[in-house]
Amino acid sequence: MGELSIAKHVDYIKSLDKKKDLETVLTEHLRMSGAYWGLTSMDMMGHLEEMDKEAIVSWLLRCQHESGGFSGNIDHDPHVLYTLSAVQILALYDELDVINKDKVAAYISQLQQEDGSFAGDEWGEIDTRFSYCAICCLSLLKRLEKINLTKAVEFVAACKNFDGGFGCTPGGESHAGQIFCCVGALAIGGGLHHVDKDLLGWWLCERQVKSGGLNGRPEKLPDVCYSWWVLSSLVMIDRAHWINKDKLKQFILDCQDKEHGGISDRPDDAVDVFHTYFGIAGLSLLEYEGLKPIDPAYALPVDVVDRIFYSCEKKQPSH
Amino acid sequence: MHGRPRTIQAPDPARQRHEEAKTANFQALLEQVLHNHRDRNFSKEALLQNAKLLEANPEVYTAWNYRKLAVTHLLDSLQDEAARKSVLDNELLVIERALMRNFKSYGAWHHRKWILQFGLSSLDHEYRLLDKLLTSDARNFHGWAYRRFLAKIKKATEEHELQYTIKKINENFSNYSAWHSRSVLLSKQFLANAIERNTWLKALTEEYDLVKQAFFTEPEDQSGWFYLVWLLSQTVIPSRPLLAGFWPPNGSSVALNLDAPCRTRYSVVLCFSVPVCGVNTETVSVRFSSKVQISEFGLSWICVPDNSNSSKVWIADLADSCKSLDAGTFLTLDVEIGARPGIISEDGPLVGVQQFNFNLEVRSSSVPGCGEHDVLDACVAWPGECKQGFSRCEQSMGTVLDGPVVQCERHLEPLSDWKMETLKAQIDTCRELLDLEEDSKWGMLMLARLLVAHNQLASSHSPHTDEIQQLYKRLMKVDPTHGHYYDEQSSSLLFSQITSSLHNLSVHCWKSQQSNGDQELWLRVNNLSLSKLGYFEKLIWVQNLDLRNNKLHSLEGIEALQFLINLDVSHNQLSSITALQPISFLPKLQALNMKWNEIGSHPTDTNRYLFPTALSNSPESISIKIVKHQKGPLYWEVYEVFSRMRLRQLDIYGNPVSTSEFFRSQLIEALPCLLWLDGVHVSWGFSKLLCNAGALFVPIPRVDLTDRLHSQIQELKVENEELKARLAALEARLSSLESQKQADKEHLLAKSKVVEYTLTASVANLATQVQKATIAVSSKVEECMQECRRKGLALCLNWWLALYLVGRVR
Repeated sequence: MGELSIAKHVDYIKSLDKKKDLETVLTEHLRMSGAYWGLTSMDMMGHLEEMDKEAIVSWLLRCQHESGGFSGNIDHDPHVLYTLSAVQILALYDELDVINKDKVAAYISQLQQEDGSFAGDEWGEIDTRFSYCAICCLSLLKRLEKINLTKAVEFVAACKNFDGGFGCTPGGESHAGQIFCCVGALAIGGGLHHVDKDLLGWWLCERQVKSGGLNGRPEKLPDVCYSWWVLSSLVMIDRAHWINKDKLKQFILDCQDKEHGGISDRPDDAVDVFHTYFGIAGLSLLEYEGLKPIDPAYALPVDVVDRIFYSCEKKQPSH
Repeated sequence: MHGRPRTIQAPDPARQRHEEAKTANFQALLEQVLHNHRDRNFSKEALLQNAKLLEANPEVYTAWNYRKLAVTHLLDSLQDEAARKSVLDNELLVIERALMRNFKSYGAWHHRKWILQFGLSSLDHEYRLLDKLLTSDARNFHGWAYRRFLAKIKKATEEHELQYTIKKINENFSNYSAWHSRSVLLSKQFLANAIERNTWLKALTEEYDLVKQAFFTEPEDQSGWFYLVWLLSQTVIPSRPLLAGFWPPNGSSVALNLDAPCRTRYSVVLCFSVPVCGVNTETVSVRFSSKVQISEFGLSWICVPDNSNSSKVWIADLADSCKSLDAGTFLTLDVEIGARPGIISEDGPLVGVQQFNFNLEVRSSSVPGCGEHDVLDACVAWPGECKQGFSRCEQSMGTVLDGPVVQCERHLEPLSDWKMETLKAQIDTCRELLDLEEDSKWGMLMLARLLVAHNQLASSHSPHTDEIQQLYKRLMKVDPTHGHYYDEQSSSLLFSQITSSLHNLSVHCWKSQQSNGDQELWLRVNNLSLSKLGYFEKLIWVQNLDLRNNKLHSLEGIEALQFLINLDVSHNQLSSITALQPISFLPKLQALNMKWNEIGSHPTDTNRYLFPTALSNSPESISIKIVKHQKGPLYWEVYEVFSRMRLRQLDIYGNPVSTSEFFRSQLIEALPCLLWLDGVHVSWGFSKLLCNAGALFVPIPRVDLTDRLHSQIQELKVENEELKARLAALEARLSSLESQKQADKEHLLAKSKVVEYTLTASVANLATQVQKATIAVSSKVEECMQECRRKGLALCLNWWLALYLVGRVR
């Protein structure tokens, strides 16, 4: 089996900030999430300290709006997707105290609807992705009491389908990415009893195709990002042993660009930070030697999550 | 980037220049658009710039927000409906162009729905456009979601939408999105229950035919198979909750000692087939009759685990409800589950009403037989480690058990004829498919599942077990990627066999002789390579369980064994402390053997979210209590799992984590009742002593595979010896029976000879007698003849004398 080219991937992630190519410009609106993917990858590989923490945190704070929400980049509008990414980055750096947690929580709680669902922003798009973002974010901020958690959990449960999976809204087709969001929201909200673990676990393990990779829906092509979406869901419901881990490991490693670093969706495709993160996170769940273990629900390294929930240690004030 | 090939060579300079110019243009446009947004500039030009940007990159969500602001602004200034419509139609055009670039753009689809809500757009146009899209990309879930959105506005009937799914399925059986939509629409009809029964059955039969066509056309396509699984769960194989097991058994007697410690306190236990909520005094009626009237017996129900309102296992403590009763009270309690509606799972309400009754006798501690023998001062001996004092049960189990009695019944609702026929028809269909496609993975898997369902319905025997096991073996060969899944299914079937009858269970029952003369019953399901358990609802009565030396990686469901006292799960594959969480809900558990598992060797914890902790925002989390542990690593799982338990003995040796002194000291802190840890008395302070002694002492042997294997070999040897002894005993018994048989044969032979001899003798005797009689008769005849002759002569003489006399007279 090939090896994970950690040094190359570290260089690749470090290079992203300076890049000014078309790709970078086309994705500049989601830079907050890009930063979260890159930084979490660096932390899993044990190289987080090589990133310029101060510059990142100060840029991040410039993305916060009057409402308390964060946008994907400066001059964009706030959205719950990027609010979560911002909070995750601060959690990674143990810097949650630099923001006004109540203000962020207020932004998120006003997005909750009567039926328990969440809008992504003021324009009212409803999706269980946003339920996950809201619940995960508030839990990291320890402000879950600001929303109606029971209703939030019930809405996610109402999106359950005939195959045990979950969709964007009630009636929406199951999709592995969506399943991660819903199972993650239920896990954090204490509602995993809504999941039919055997039915969903079987559907998810059938995402593994002959090449060893995972797809996101039946009869679709495999993609490295599902190494995370599918595998983290399987881990949360304790059915990860139903897939062949060695074959998946091999598939992810085959998707590396061993020359320039980075990981792509399928072997020999163009790499990006999104797939690099999901590849490394997948390998971390597969207990790849030399990577920090990652938490399947909060999508942050386990030590970061444990520090938040099981430690009252006051960190030293930052300089 | 999705699906874009990696460039291997550097692009040529001309191309690179082109790319750079494109980037610069886009960058400038983006900046302009964001600038307009900031300034709330809704001029025609600004709107055009925005449209151009979205056509190039529909993912810029802020640009869609700008358009919504602009539309709101424009509509505010327009009164004329035609003018308003024209603004909205222009938006639809912008969206169409954006969707041409990327028809998976969330922002574009949301903007379209947002425009449609003004109610000024042509729905027919939308349907035509959508049809085009779903023809070129039949699985686009945004498209399908948009169709549901339109159907809602148009108030399209379910029937209409079902027709559309049929159309898409007939175009391509592999259209999973269409099958999904069908399931959603049919579910609505199921729930509405609006259709007349015969129509409904006819419709379902058509569904089965449709899906059959699908998998006969493309047997390796997953779409139809997942749909079939769902169809079966909705119609034939019940997914609605059933009462799977309960305790006390029907007609049994329970003696309740109010003063006794935990171990002799009993609860009423109900086990359902799926998690349910709504178990309470309303839905479960418990009554007892006295001389004059029937009264309610107030039991308060809680679910296990008690953090949620939905669970498979529900218990009610009897002692709590008996506090006001006097010792010596004797009651017969009638329990009725489902008497009133309210017990419900996510798939619907409880099926059927279940009744049982039991006798309850309230005692006080002065009554003999309620001793305090549950105080465990000595170490529990594990049957897998200590052969002495353990023996197989010879007598029936009911007589061994004190207190809880075995209960092992099936509570399945009989299927209607239609359902049974459907089940059989599906079995035949799968067999038919396998005749054509011998190695069809899906055909085999489905057949196995159908046979399992059929097995469960057969009341006493399980006719298909061997065939199902063969199917799983073949599946492991045909589809090794999912080997673990098939192995678990196979294990589960084996376990269901073990628990299916008292006879099968009794093979696994052992008894142990206690020092005080008491006997304990052990259920030993060990050395079977089981990777999955189940059917705990049939084992509620178990107090001592040996699961040693299997391949278990989870103890999911064991929380149903509410009377469990001793548990041996050593030599399995449990990989984290959190994997033990189901046993933390067992109130009576005192001794746990978890030696030689894999705790500490797996960084990924797959049980982290399966029980209430601070991570899942449980209000009962102990996170606050463990603040003081800041030196060394904190094993918070130890506190979350163990702190609610009253374990007195824990054997954890052989797990990688057990070598950590921090871990052991946190264990001791989390378990205040713990007396024995790995065979060492906690109060001896051994751990501290050994810790200080440093390298001279090796407190806990290092985890070593060889050690583990040796120990397993040793154990298997012992087991082997024991089996050999059993075999020898059986052989001896056989040969003794053989000789007995020989002796009996000889005895019978001799006996038959005697009879024969006697018979011959009697015959001879009879013949002699006959002869004698014949002679006697002949001589009598002779005598008579002579007599006759004499008499004749005398007559003659007389005659002659008369003649003479007459002559003389003449």
